[in-house]
Amino acid sequence: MQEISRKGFGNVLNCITGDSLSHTPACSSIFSQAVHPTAGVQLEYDFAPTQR
Amino acid sequence: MQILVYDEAMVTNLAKKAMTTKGQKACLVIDHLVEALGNDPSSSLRRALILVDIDQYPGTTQTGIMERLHIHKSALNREIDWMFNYGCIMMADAEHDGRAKKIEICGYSRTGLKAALDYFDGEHENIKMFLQRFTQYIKQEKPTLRDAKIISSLNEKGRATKQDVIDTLYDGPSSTDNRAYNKLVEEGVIGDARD
Repeated sequence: MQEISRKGFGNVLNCITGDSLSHTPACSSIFSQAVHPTAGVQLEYDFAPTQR
Repeated sequence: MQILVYDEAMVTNLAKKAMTTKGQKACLVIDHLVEALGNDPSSSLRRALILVDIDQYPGTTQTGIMERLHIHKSALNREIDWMFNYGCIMMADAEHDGRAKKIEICGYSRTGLKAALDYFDGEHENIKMFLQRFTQYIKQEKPTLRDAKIISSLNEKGRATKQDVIDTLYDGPSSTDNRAYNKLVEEGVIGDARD
């Protein structure tokens, strides 16, 4: 059995900051695509739009 | 239902984030960088650093990269040629100088890097620091993404046999994986587990 024997790897890992997806651009883009009508996302309806 | 697809992806990602340790995240970051660099784990951490810089400064020139990363021209030329040949970047003539080329990340490299950046709050400087600290930690002349994955996997496992770690690596010649692992043992990064 072997293990990491050189110290200091914690300093490398500490650079990783992405704990909260809700604050990352990736998630923001998911939200914007889902709700923004100009984002080019085609919404599918189970019913026909009501005609005036 | 398109919205449900987005929700599922979001929930899956949230769950993935919440359940992963930093060691696991390091493994995932390395995996995404390997994807971004032509699925070649022999790519150096320096090559990954250059790709990050190109994404951070779209339309940059080689001179710009050299100045920011302090990389020698000939070494940078080799890396740029490699990335161009593997479809990681595209180049176009610069408007102000016909001799200079504007460089941009493209295709699967953009996708892979974006996934890696997700673990750094989308901050290029943070992933650059990750790569630079990893390079300093390994203390080899030209550490590769394979080396980084070996260390990240072993860190995550705590203690493991050599074969257990090598099993987490990428498809490729086992002799290359063994050589990389042995070098890390020789240089004292990896050692026998103490009781």
